[in-house]
Amino acid sequence: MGNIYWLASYPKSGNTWMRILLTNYLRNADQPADINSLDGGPIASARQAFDDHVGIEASDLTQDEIERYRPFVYEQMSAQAKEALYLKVHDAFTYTPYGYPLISKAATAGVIYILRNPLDVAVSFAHHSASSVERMVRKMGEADFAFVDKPQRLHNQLRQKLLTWGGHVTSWVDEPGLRVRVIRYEELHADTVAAFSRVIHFCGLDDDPARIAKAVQFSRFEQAQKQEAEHGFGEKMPGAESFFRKGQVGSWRAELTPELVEKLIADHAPVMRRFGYLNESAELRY
Amino acid sequence: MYIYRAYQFLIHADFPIPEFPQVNETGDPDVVIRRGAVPTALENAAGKGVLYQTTANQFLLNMNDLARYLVQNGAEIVVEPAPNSPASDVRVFLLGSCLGALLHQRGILVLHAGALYTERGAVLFTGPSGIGKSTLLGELLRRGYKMMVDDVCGVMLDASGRPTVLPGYPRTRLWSDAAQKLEQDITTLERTRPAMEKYERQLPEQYWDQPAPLRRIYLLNTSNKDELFLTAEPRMDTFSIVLRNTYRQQFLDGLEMRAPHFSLVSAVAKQTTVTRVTRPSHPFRLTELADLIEQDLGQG
Repeated sequence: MGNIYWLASYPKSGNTWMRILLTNYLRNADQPADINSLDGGPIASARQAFDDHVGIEASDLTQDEIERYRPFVYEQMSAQAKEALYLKVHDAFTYTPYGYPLISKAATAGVIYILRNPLDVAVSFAHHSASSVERMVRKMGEADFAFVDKPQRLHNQLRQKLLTWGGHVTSWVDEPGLRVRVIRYEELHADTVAAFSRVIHFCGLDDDPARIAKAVQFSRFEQAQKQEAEHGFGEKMPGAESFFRKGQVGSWRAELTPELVEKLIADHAPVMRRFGYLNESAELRY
Repeated sequence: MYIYRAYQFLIHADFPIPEFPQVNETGDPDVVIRRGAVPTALENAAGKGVLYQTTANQFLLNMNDLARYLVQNGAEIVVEPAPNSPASDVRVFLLGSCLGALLHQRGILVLHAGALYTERGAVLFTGPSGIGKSTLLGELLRRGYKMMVDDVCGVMLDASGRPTVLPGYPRTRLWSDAAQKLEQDITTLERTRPAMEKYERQLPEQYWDQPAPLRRIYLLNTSNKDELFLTAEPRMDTFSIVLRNTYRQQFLDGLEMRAPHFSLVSAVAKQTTVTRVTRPSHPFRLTELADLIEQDLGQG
């Protein structure tokens, strides 16, 4: 078993919130952690980490060559780690052109898979990308959707294949031989202490209730929003107004047209049903 | 045999390296680059990455089905290309990590930077990959400046202990979007590698081939706000900036060069200033950025 716990999610599903919680828990300080220096990084797709570990630059490699070597970067990071590493990842769980899992299982201690209602994801994704919600709904249904898929320029991240929203979920949770703990954004929102305690337990960390309660208190949405308003947040996209926008459950109700809701359900019904976003009578929950 | 001069070394190569300036000089070479057999691994490697291994005087890069490279004693690079590897692909890694390792072996400070020559000395542009070093360098070249190197920049102390920038070779690389920003026609340029949208630009007529005193370092970074400005970095941060922007510094431990590198960084940091250049990550605002740099250079 490796040393890396992956904080895996489709974008805009609560990954940063999980990182804030973990950071506050791990540092156990007497004030909230700075959102601009969180643990849980670098993201698995960070160019710099790849360059440092491989010894050549990703910018001199083709996308397929980069993916060929990425699993070995994680194996090296895991081998060099003296304690557990928590790394954010938005890539779907895929296999490289050489038949090796992109996210090496040998480097992996476990996966915290953070899942969120795709209807809310679509709304948040549109704001984050300064794009229309129609476009994001369409992208969430495309099996070849990937971040940084344009080889004409150098980006600070490597290509990340996302698959469809539902494909992303099943790629991680149904992969044999991975230890996965699924945490839904909605549970985290409804009872943060209980949901985060399950994460702590899964990672084999000390589940001292006072320490967890303090981490939850320091990771409140308003705290992140306040810090962003005062100092900005490095992970905000240039076109977006803010990163910590609403952090609500069910904000899709005010922003999605019936046609878009219908399309999301049509594209993702089986996975939505499986994880409780649609009930047995095909009604939307949350 | 092909004879070149790059980084002030007289180089003998048994295959063409068109990026390097060719010379008609006699004498013993400082560096030999030749084809030959290269092992897949080093015995007793002290340092290791995914594709490289190091010992005190050897550096091995194993690019699998592309080529293997062995860099020894700061004086020799042996290359074993795989059958059918395009020559340009083989050179990319030769001119990148292998050259970097050779300079490290010789105790030269290697910075991940582009260098321009000005009358008052060499000006370096450094920062992480993808931050826009080559694009900015390209714009300043368009305005008539001379280049000393793009990407792998060697710095030494001269006889009186002052930091001196070595001329590397007159080639820049541009991604197609950078070429577009620079209004550079890419149809006449060679691709860095056949499968990539990255192009090679040879600029022999704009090459300054003599060493020059280090005048200033510009550290490039981006912001997700629409802002463009220069700030003088505090003196006490110069050391860590030079350290952090050392090219392939992960090679140093295995090469047993960490201690000399540390004192070199310290000596250079004491005698240079760093100006931080902040630009929006999007849009690039290249013209304004180059104006700002030119204005700053004009002020001293």
